[in-house]
Amino acid sequence: MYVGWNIGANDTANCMGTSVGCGLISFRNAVILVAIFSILGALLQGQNVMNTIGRGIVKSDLSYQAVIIALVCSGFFVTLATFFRIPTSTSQAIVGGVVGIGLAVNAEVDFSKFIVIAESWVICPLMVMALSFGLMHLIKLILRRFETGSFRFQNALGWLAIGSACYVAFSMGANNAGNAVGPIANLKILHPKLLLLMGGLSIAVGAATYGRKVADTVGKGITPLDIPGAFVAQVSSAFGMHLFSLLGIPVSTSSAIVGAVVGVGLVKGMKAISKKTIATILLGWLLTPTFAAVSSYLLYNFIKTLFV
Amino acid sequence: MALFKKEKAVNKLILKHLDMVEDCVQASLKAGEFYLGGDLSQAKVHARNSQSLESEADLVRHDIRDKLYSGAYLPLLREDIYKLVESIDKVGNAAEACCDFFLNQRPVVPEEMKSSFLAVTRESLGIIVSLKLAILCYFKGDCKIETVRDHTRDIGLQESRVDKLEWDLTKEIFISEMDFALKLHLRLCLDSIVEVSDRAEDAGDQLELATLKAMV
Repeated sequence: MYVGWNIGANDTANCMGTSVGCGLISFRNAVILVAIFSILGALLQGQNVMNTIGRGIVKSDLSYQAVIIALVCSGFFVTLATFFRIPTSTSQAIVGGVVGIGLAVNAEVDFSKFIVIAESWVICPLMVMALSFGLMHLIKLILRRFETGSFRFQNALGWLAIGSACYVAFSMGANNAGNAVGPIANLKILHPKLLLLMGGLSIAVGAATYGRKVADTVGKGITPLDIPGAFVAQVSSAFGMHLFSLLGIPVSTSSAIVGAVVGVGLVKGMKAISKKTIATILLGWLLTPTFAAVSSYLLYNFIKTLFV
Repeated sequence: MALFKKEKAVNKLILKHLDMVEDCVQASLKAGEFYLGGDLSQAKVHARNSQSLESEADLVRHDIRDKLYSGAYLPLLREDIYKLVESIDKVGNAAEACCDFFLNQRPVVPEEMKSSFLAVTRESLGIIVSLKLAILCYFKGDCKIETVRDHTRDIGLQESRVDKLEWDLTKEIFISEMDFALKLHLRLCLDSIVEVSDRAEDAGDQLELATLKAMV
């Protein structure tokens, strides 16, 4: 539940940060939509990633103690990133934590699977960035071709952007609820669907209670977004995430949306991008899984030394 | 489309409001023309018409506000839409105030200045035609953004012509041999006439801002 709360707190920004940032909807309404669609995504399509996290990386059963340490360590670093308004990857933190604990318990860690996942962390944002860059150019071309900018047209585009944000929330539920409850699935104490529901609910609670900070970074910090920009960023990131969810690869919604927002910003040129924000985000992406892995490994061994 | 029913209703009201403001300004223009022509009774008829049209336009504006804030359009757009409606409404208010000035304060316009006053009144209050074109063009959505911006440029040009006429007339007033109190009164009258084109220019700017925001 703590990891799920972290996902909600950090990743609400990925779903609705752009829409909230450009003023399309209030943060309160955004949270309601995130809650509904992330729970739906978790229940309907969360199984694939849950299986990968549960049994895909560490090939043996983990003890309660190991699972708790993996979750707490990864959750802690995501909380830290959220506090500093950095849209970090909960997926990366969980994978880092699971790998760290796998190594600590001397379990068989499937490094080939880990490499595939790690590659997706690089491929996904780049793919989404290219997609949003191309899509933004296409949208600009269409808008300039028809040259219509009436309020009614902008209103319709705004609703499309909100719809696409719901799609991102659905994809986030599908991809990230599995991150939160995957290690527990390994313990086989609860039905997978019930676990996914818990994951979805905790994401919703995290979004409502602590989601505001990162939403500001995504929505305003990287580059200022207008309605078409928000729409393109959301559609591109949702498409990228959905694709990886179907493949069962836990990608980062944060990296997807940040990639998409950068892609949209690049259409306006390099000057439109805040390089300082991007550097902070990249550092967060690198450090979160590393610290989660190292701290899980060290904490497990420390506790073992104390009690065994 | 049933999905955007509220938005369609608001658009309909905005166009109705625009028509009323235009009628109000035209009525004020007629009142001014009759006053300067010496026909006070006809001027009063048109002034009364202008007042009632302005009051009706206010009611429609309130209706637009209520509909907007009860869910029509996204919150992001509501403020821009209402600001635009308010700026159009202010043109009607200025026209009514101009009418009131003529009929209430009865400025004494010397015979040799009547044609100049008539010209500045026609130019200033006549700006409503360009403003209506621009607003219609934007709200009906059947014009290109560039066409809307061409219309807003026309509003700006017409306002500049009014400024030129105002400058010339001010000079004419103050170099005349009239009593100083009379000069000041005519100057106030001139202020109230040019206020209409100033407010129309503001509305044009507001519209241009909306078109700029829509551009990607």
